[in-house]
Amino acid sequence: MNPAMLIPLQLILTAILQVLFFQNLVLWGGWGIPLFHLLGLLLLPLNTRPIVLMMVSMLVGVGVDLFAYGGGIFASSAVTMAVCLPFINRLLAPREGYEVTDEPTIRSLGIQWFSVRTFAALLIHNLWMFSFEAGRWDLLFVGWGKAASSSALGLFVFAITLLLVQAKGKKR
Amino acid sequence: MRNLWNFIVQYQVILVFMVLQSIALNWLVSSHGFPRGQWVRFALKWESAWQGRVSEWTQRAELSEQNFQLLEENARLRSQVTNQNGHGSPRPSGTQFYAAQVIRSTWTKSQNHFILDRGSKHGIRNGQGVTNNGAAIGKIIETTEEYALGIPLIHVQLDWSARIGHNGAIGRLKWADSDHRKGVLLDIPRSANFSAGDSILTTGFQGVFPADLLFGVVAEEAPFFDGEFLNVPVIWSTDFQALRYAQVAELKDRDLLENMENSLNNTQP
Repeated sequence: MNPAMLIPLQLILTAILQVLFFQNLVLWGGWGIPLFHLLGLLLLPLNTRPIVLMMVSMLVGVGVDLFAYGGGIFASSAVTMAVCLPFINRLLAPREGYEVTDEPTIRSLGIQWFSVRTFAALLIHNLWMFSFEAGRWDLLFVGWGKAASSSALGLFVFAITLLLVQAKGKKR
Repeated sequence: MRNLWNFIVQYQVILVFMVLQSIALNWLVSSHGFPRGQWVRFALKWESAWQGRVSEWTQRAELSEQNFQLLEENARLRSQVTNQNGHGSPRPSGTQFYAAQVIRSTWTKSQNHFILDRGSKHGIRNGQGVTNNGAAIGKIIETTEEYALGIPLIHVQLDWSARIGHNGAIGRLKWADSDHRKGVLLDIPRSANFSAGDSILTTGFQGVFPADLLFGVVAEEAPFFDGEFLNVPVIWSTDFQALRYAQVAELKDRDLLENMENSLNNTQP
């Protein structure tokens, strides 16, 4: 498929799946909450401008907020993750830098790169979200615990999804 | 002017971040954790139809458990009717209950909510209390024609007026912490007499529930001191993880009482 069509499609598809299915999925007594719409944001091209990344994240976050009664919490968290994503990408860049054809996927940059980047981004998103969602100081540490466990679950779900969806290719 | 332009260009990322964050956080703060307004009504209308379908599928797999719950409910109602006829025991007066099904609920967050498959055209209104098998579980905060959005007892920003037993001390009931099975009754005098297993009932003072509906029971744990008062751990009588059916309480005199309160406030010097 034309990549220009693929990007909006994966953003919309992951957001729809989050609203219709994943927001009903709560594991381990509330310690495992997958946020599937973030997969669409994490799959945006590596050379996406930070401002565009934030704008798109805001739109996706607002969309999820509207249908999950988040009241702005998903939008705020997605924007926070988006502002940090270019720094994470820079930290994890290969010595010779990213190639034009590199994609933020397991197939393109390997499982180790994908795991570290995804977990770091999800952790930033979830720490922000669960800290605000806690609503009380004494629930803050529980919220941070949930952020860490939900990030691990998110990484697992995203990795499985990509392994299932993406055709086999040559690993870098 | 040129310096300003240079500043904007140099710090464009952080400026855009601050603008977007301001919009999102303003939305978050203005909603106070209670999602309300036009956008909620829009989402309720469109998304709840889908959630109702999902709920239908999942509940087909749980029919035997639901039948058991209905049998229990029938038994409870029958015994209540018997008690009323035989001994004239107290019951909520002037209250009409509307049956509804819970098509979605959250119980793992700090600010939880639930959605009922009944809305304004079925008589559901904002501010009505919601019960489950005769126990108070929350209140309605937003409605559309077909659906209603409510907040349960397990919401960190809500206080409920509650009493120990029919004639005991009155206090503020709050959700204790992240455990969805427990609450805590605050501001109980040290002199109050109670023991584990005693009922925690609604007072009816808030105009949400009629008096004497069950919130839960006093937990086995020892109460803890908070200055001159006791804080009493409470076990909810409802399992919020397994909410399926609800009855919405309409207090017949609510409008009248609210008007009286408003006129009292207006006439204060």
